[in-house]
Amino acid sequence: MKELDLEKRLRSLPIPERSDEYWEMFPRRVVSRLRAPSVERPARSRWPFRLAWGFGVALAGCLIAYAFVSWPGSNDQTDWSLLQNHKMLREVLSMFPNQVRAIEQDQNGVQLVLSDKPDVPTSTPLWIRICQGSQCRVVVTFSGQQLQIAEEKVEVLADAQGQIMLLGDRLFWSSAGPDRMSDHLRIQARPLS
Amino acid sequence: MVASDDEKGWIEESRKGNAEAFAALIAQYQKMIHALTYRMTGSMSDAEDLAQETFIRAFRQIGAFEGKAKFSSWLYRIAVNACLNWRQRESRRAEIHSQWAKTNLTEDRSSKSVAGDEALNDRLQQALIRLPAKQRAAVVLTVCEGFSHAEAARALSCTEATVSWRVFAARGKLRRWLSTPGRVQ
Repeated sequence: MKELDLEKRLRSLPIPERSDEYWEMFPRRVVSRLRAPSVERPARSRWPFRLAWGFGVALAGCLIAYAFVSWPGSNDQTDWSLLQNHKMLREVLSMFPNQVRAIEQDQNGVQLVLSDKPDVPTSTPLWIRICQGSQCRVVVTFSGQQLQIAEEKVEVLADAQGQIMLLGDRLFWSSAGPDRMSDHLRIQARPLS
Repeated sequence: MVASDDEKGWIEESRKGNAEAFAALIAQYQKMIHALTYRMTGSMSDAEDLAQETFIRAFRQIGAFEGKAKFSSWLYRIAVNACLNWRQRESRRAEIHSQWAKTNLTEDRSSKSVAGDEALNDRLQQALIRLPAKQRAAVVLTVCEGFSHAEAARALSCTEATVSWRVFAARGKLRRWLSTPGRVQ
């Protein structure tokens, strides 16, 4: 495409039209949002919730740590099948419905990443193994959550066919492609159905 | 656009917290901001959300508007920042999903030679969305919205040279992607 064509095309790129009603209502919608009082619970009523929350997190940590330590063979080397244990995963997920963002396991142990609100949509857990050189970790997470890979934040996405994508600013990986992204980085992923 | 007396009055009233006066400003600039947010996201619903966010931020920050620049330029700046910062992940997710979903559709369309112009516009919008956000913003402001590089630099909080470089780089990518037959990946 020639330079002039590109300029002309860009300038005349159509914008989908909206109805007159939409334009009439839009300022009112914004104004009603401006007038809406910000909803915040009084500080005092949050204390019992925070206490319960702290207790729950501690309990879940103990449960996972126990599962990790008592898993056969885990004393000698990392047992990567731990996060494929459906029963354990179900129990952890049921303790924090719609709050588990990820359960991560690496050579140092297991970590539970929770949201402070039940805003994680229910979906199939996704098992992802990431190896950077000799350092591996396994993550169980969900579509829409974020992971840190090779110093980059990537979003985990799954489609209806069970394909998994990891999408960052520079990194893109799909379970439809090869595991090995480079000599240094290898990724495997599958849904835990 | 030269600020009318009406506009000055609405800005003054908005500064005092008068939301009705601000609604008049919204009515004045809503199409302009929607156009920008649509070009930045390629999504009608994201464009609406971002336009709302822009006006809400503008209302909250209107005390900082000194009236030295045009109100429209000031709004553009807020809108561009909102586009660069807000829901990048969601937009990218939508983009990737729509690209995947469109793959077969686009191939079907091209094989049937349907609506050449429309298909080219689709590809151009897709290509625009595929650009890095800052390059996209530079192209949208300078080419689509007709800003000078100096005005765009102010809106993007960078130097003119940076804007020129971003536009140059973006044009190169757009030309390359659009000269390849088939879909924009």
